[in-house]
Parts: sequence; structure tokens; C-alpha cells
Amino acid sequence: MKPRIPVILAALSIALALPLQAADLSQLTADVAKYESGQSVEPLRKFEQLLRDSAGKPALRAELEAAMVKLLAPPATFEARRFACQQLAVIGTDASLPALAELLKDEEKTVGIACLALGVHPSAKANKTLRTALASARGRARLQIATTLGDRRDAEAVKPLSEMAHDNDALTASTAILALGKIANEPARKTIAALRKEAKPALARIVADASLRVAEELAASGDRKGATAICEELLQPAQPDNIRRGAFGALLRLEKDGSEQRILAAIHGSDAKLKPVAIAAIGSLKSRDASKTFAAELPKLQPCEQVFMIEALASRGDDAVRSAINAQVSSADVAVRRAAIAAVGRLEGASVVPLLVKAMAGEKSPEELQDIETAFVSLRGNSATDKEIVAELKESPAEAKIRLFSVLARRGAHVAVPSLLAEASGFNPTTVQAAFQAVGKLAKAEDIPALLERLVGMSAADARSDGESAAARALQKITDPARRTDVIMARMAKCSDIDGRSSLLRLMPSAGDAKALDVLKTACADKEPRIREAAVRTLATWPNIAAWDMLMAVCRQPESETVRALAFRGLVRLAGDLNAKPDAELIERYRKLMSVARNADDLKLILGALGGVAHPDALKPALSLLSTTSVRAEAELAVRKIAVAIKAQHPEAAREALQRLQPPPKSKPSAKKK
Amino acid sequence: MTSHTPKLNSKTETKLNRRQFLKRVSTALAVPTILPASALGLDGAVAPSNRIVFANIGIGGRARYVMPNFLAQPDVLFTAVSDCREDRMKSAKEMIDKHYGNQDCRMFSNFQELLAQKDIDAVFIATGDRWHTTASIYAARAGKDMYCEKPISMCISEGRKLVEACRRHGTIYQGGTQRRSTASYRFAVEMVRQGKIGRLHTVEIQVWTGPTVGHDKATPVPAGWDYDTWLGPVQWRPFVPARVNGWNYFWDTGEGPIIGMGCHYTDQMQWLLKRDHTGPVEFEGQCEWPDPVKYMSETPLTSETRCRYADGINCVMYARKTFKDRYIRYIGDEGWIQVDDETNEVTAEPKSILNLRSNAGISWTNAGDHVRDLLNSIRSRRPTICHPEAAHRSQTICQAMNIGLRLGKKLRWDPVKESFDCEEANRMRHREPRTPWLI
Repeated sequence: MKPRIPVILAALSIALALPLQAADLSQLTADVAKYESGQSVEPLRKFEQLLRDSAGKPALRAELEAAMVKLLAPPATFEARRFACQQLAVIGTDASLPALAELLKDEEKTVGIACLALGVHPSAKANKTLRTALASARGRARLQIATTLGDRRDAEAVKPLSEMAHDNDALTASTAILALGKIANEPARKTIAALRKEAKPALARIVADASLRVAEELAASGDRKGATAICEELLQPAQPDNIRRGAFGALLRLEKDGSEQRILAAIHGSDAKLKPVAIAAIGSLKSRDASKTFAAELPKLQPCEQVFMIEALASRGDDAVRSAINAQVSSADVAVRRAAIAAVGRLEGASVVPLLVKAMAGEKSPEELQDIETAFVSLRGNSATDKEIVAELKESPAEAKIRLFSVLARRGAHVAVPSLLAEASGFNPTTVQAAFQAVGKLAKAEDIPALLERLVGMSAADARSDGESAAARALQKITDPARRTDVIMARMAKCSDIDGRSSLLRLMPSAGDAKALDVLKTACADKEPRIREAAVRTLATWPNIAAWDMLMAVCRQPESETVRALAFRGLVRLAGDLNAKPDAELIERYRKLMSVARNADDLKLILGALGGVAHPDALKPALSLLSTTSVRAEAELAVRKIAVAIKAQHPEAAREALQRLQPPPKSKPSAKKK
Repeated sequence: MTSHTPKLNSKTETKLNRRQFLKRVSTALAVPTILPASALGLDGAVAPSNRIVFANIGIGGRARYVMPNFLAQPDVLFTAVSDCREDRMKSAKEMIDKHYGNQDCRMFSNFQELLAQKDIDAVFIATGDRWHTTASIYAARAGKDMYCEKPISMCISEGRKLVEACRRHGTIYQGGTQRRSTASYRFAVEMVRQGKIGRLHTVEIQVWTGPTVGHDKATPVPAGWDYDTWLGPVQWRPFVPARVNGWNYFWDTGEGPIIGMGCHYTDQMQWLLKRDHTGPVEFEGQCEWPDPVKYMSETPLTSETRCRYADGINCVMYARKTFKDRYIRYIGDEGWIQVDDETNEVTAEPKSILNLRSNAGISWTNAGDHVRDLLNSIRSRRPTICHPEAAHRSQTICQAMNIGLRLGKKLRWDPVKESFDCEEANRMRHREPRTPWLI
């Protein structure tokens, strides 16, 4: 591993490790012994570091354990003793057992921390320590020790635990029963079997839990017969549902034949609690024949059961289940259909494309259609499946086509681009729009000439903007802006159609270079008015300040008010885009904008943008309009915004500007107020 | 979670009787518990008797955040809440009653009393981390299915006990790593599975710099606090306000961001790799511990931990930077894809991968799809998308990382035996729980 935080780690390591080597362990132990919350934990951390460093050093480790043993006894604080127990849980040996035994004799809280250390103590002597303590323990301490003996699976603890299991106190009995279930040796099994027969209602669930543990232990040791007998007993209808489900699951795992017969019996039976558990288990059956067996059951089930069965069969995913699931794609029950469609999407490839296309036909809810689309997207087989979907386009109705376009786009099916472009030549605007949207996602650089060809020659005028969006998106696949312009210009050179040329002009911002700007400049002087307007509109959307001078020129000598307004709005937008870096040049641009403004609307537009300029010089043009009644409100707002933005750096200018504003009107006192 | 007697009002009794009546009717008519399609929530129409009756255990901030996702499901009926703090219970009851337009939500200060209610089918557990496994096992034993917030356990042995308890009781369990049901994360996983970034070799995860908790003295337990219940299975220690409030950063009660957030990401990694029943084989790491003079908190500040699967796939988890900087990135030999958790933004190289995403989708903050998966599983009895074994295995990775950091050792792990090559590490897999909590 390459250290990425070496400096701080090295510093910390030196700070902790070096002094520790020289430290007096007894002093450190004494410091730990005094620890109470609120004090520095440095002694604790140093002790932990010593423990880490002592790995592989038995002598040092023994010394440290001896120190911790001291910490277990008074006058060490409770926190110090707890700390020692936490460490002993990890490194404790027989040496610490006598001291831990003392803690077991003490009050409840020290019993708990002692068991923390003893729970995974490797020595068998720890069991004896715990058993001895159990004999005289009372209350919660007794429960704690019994629990720990159970966790340690101490076979010799079964006798006292069995006695506890018959205690009148339900909690005491439950604690012992659970511990016996964990131990699960022959004597423990006998006690638990007896408890099952006693059938005390208050203990029923814990006895069942312990019994299932016993069954697991028997099964693990190869005693299937014994385990089966217990599970059969717990499967009886009088048992709680969860116990029956658990027992049923255990029986399925125990069956030598892979449990198929038991599952079949449950499916054919009338036990409604077990039927879904049986169906759910089919997914994990190992036998290959299981798929065939249960696929044959699918048509015989109730619709709600079919849904579960489809999910189970789909999780098997082999050939034997597929045809059965595919058949349910045309089920009369919507839930079954949707389950089948989802499964088909997960399991199948090209071969089911016609099936899913057919599934789209007829009255279907949006949710079901969405499921079908998702299934299409999930189908395996990449290129082969994509081609199959493309082949289906020809015969599909418009609505289905649109969905398939979306599918192809989501699948990243580049192979579909020629077909999608062919669809984009149609007259149905909705279809053409969808086709272009898909092309926009899929087209690569080499597709752009064909895409532009389709764009200039398109029949569905309402879909033109979708075509342009697709082309703009595809153009970004060409990394060199000059090449983008070349591609557009090459097509433009052959294009006489006004709509087509206008579309191509509108693509120039996607190229965004000087050559593209020149094309627009030329187009602004075109003899055809629609071309000129398209050029100005495009200029107004130019992505950077390079279009400023051209737009200003249009604004100063417009051929119509429409064109002027377009250019003016473009200029304001470009100025606003520069607000983040306010400087004298930007203020000058706003001044020029004011000089070409023709009416109050123009001024309002400027003030809206000017308010975003955090520069003291921006105040002047804004303040100058305070006296113009028609824009006073906008001017005040702009002044206020600028003043607030510059207040920290230019408090005087901000204060003066704000003083020139009318104070906000005070609200009139309410008539209801007294 | 104390031994207080539950407060059952007259409406509770009425409800129990109604359900008992329904049960008798359904038994008489031999109506299967497999519900008709209309109850599957697929067509939106759900008869009241077909609703899954839920209750909550632990109703703090997280529970209130997730609760609307349950309430929004047409086939869920939330009927009860439990917490050791009465103020929280009352507030949750108000929220639930307001949703249903009635006063039916019951309150239980003792969660075992809640679990004893026969009308409750499932529980939503959102206690403090130290309680997650214990409450889950008690719920399983009581025959309830459940959703439980992550982290699902406080140590590796607890996680294994949870898995076994759910199997033993036929429990449907769903862990709270809801990113398995989140569109952005699913998309990233799908892209990697489809080979869009080539052969995956590294999973890079970033959680945040662990906070610190300054020194604080023990005080008497404040009025209104049931500290004994608050501690639950944690061995007793004095009540220290800063430690109780900062419980996430003390090994007894929490395990810091490596577990708190890291388990979401290791869960994604395990899911992607289809290794829900196994795990990596090697762990190592380095970390920066809190300054012991200034802070009493125990979990690391920054760290860099790594694990490796047997087939060579690596994972590196950084704990650094801020909460907002968390992400998971899958790195292959032909590209990468990353999901930023704060923004739900997916980025990738090559960028063309992003064209395949249908829409921005819903972020992890909406757990509706995760809840739906749970509800479907409760009906079908098939495992949830985040079943106990999956949740345990993904959490084990984070726990092994922490054990490695605490021991300052590189560790090898046998995912079949669930055993380290180091005795000390093996002993750290277990923590003896405090009685009377039996797991």
C-alpha cells in the first residue's frame, strides 16, 4: 500500500511509540487506573499502542497483561477496569482469569465487563471460571454469565443451564434455553425436547428458536433424521407462522432429493402460509430437472401464484424456464404479464424481440409499456438484438416505433442510426422528432454528413428543432471546432433551400469558431430576408463575446425593429455572461448598451443585467436612471443589488448609493391592532 | 424498550378485534394468503385487509426521514411506534395519525410489547446502531418481517447471528442500503456489468473525515432518559453527555464513517460483483487517530483502507475531505464511472456511457423503490434485494477494515470460514452482549 498520509502518520507514530519505549509501564498503568471521563485519554491510547507493538513479543505481552490484571482491581476506576476488559477480550490469556473471576463475583456492571473479556477467551479454563461464578450469581449477573456460557458453547454448563431453563421467571428460563440451544449437545437437546413437550406458552418462541438451533446442529453433524423429526414437529399448524416457515425452510435444506417433492406437495396443497415459501425456494434448487418440473407447474397456478413462480423461475434463468415464462407475456392477468415481461428482459436476447413488440400492441397502461421498454433495454445480445429491433421498425405502428427509438437510444445501438435517419424523413412530426432525438444520442462523427442531409431535406417542419438539436449534439463528437464548421459549410454549399440553410446557420454556435462567425456575418447581409433573420437570431445566441461587435452593428443599423430587438437581447445576454468578472471594459459595454437602448423595455433589460455587476462603477449608470419614472423601480433594484454586493470592499460608495434610494414604504398599521 | 406496560386505548382493542374477525372470515373461506394481483400494488387498488401492517422501533431523525416512503405505499398500514423517548413517540404518532386522518397509531415504550402485537406483520427498525441486530433478532423471533437501517450489526459475529436468525425464522429482512434501489447507482452497476469500462480492476470509495468528540465528564442520567435501554446490548459505562450524543464515534456504539457510509458502497461493490455470499480476502490500511489530549472519540479521522478479492479486484476506501465529497468510482481498463452521492450526479469516461442513461432518476433520498422491493418480498417470501447475507457480507468488509486499522495489521480473511489469519482479529469479531438482551 502506498502511504498517502505519511507525514501525519509518521508524526503520530513517533509521538506515541517513541516515548512509550522509555515509559515506565507502572506509571502508565497508574495513569490508566485513574482514568475517568473528562480526562485526557492519552494514557489509554499509549497503552493500546503498546499492545499493538507487543504483537509477536510474548514477554512484553505478558507484562502488559499483568498490568491490565492490576487494572481490574481497586483502586482502578470503573472506566479503567472496563478499558482493561476490552483489551483482555483481544489478548487475554489464562493469566487474567483469576482477576476476571473476581469481577464476576461483584456487582452486575463488573460482571458485564468481565464477560466482555471472557466471551471469546481462548482458554477452556474460562468456562470453569464462568461456571463457578454462575453457581452463586443472582439477578442480571446470573443471566449474563449464562449467556456467555452459551456463547462459548460450554458443554459442562448444560446441567446448571437446564435447571435455570425451568426457572419460574420467564427471562431467566429464556436465557438458559437460548444458551442450551447454542450448545446443542445431547444433554442440551434432551432438555429442549422436554421443554417442547411442556409447551409453556410464555416460552414457546424461545423453545422453538432453540429447537431450530438444535436441528441445525444435528443436520451439520449428519443426523438428518434427528433434525427432520424436530422440524416436522415445528411444522405443525399450531406453531407460529414464522416457526413453521423456518422449519419448512430447514426441511427443504435437509432433503436429499433437493426438496423438489416437498415443494411440489406444498404447491399442490392448501397451506397458504407455506406455498409462497415453497415457490420462493425453487430459485435455489440445484437440480437441473427442477426448472422443467416447476415450469410445467406455472400454467396451473392462480395468477398471484404465477407472479411468484415467474420470479422464482427467472432466478434460475436456464433454458427450461424461458419458454414457460415467455408464454406468460400474453397472459390475461396484468400482474402476470408484467412479471413475465420483467423476467424476459433479464433472461433473453434477440429472439424475443418480436414477442415484446407484439406485447406493446393493444390497450396497455403506461406502466406496462414502461416495463416493456425496460425489458427491451435489458435484453442481452448487444448488436444482434439491436439489429432485430431495427428490423421490427419497418412493420411497427407509429406509437410502437417511437418507443423502439427510445429503446435503441438507451441501448446505445449505433447500428440503428441509418434506419433512424430514414425514419426522420417521414411526415409524422412526432415520429420524426423521436427519431432525431434517438439519433442525437447515438450519432458519431462519421454520421454527421448523413444527419445534415436529412436535416436540410426534412419533410416534417414541426420536427426541425429536434433535427437541429440532434445535429448540434452530434457535432460535439468532433473535437476540432474548425472541422465542425467545415462539415456544416460543406453541406451549406450544396443547399439552396431556405429552411435548410437556416437550419445549418443555426448550427454555427455548435462549431463556435471564428470561421463560423464569419459565415453568420455574411448571412446577415444575405439577399433573402429569412436568411438574414436566421443569421441575426443565431448571432443573438452566440456562446461568447466574439459576436458583440456584429450584434452592436446590427443594433445600430437594423433593418427592422424585430431584428434590432433580437440583437439587443443578445447583447444584454453577452454582457450579463461577463458579470462574474466585472471590470472597466464591462462597464463600458453597459454604457454602449444604454446608448443604443430605444425604450423603457430596453432599459429594464439592461438594468436587470447591470444589477449583477459587483463593481462600484456600475452604480453610476444605474443611479442615472433613478430619475426616469418608467424604469425607476428597476433602477432602484439594480442600485440596491450592486450596493449590497460591493458593500464590503466599497462601503462608502455603497452607503452613498443606498442613501439616494427612497426608503421602502412602511406598512400601514393594521386596523385590527390595538 | 423498558418494561413499562403498553398503553392500549380503546381504538386499539377495536382494531385487534376487526383483524381477528377478518382472520376468522378468511380462514372460513379458505382465502389464500397469497394475495390477488390487486394487492400487489401493481394496479394501485389495495383493499384495507390486504395491507401489510407495519410498526416502527426507534423513531429518531432517521426514522422520520424514511417514514414517508412507507406511508406513501398504498399497501402499507402503519399502526404503532416504539421508542424509549416519549416525546419522539408522540411526535411520530402525530405524523402517522395525520397521514391516515385518524388517531389509531399506538405507542409502546417497550418494543417487546410492540412485537407481541399479533396484528403487526412487519417492523421498520431505526434505532441507534448498537440496537440494530438485537432489535432485528427479537423481531424475527416474534415472527415479524423487517426493514432495518444500516449498519446492520456492531461486529462480525452479530451479523452472522442476524443471518442465522432470519433463516431460522423464515424472516423477510431488508437492510437499509437503499442505493441498490436507486437509479443512478443501478445505472453505474449495469454499465460496469455490461463491460462499458472494460475489465473492472478497482473500486474507489470516498467517505468523509471522521468527526471528533472532546472530553466530557460523567453526569447523572438526565430526567426523561432511560439510559439502560439506550445502552441496550452495550456493556454498561457511565452516562457522559458528549459520548451519548457522539455515539457514532466510539467503538461500543458506532464505528465512524467507514461503517456509517462505507457499508453503502461496499454493498454496491458486492452487488456489482455478484458476491453477496462471499467477500474479499485481504485487508490493510492506515489512519490518523484523534489527538488523545484533545478528544475522547475513538474512531479514525482520516484513513485509507484497501481490500482485495481473490481474483485481484481491488477496493480502496478513503475517509477524507467533507461529507459532501462522498462518491464511488468503478475503474476499468477502458474507462470509469462514478456516482456522487451528494448530487446524485453520474460521471464517466468515456462520456458516451452517459448517453445510455434514460433520465436523471430519483436519488437515494427517496427510498420508495427500496420499500417496494421489501413489500413485494413480504408477499412472495423471496429474499429482498438487500437480504441478510448480502447486508452482513458488505458490512463485514467495513468491519474488517476497522479491525485492521485498530490492530495496525494487514489481515487475510477466509470468506468461507469467516475467519482472519490473526487470533486477535478473530477475537475482535465478537462482542459479548449485555443481558438481558438475548441474541
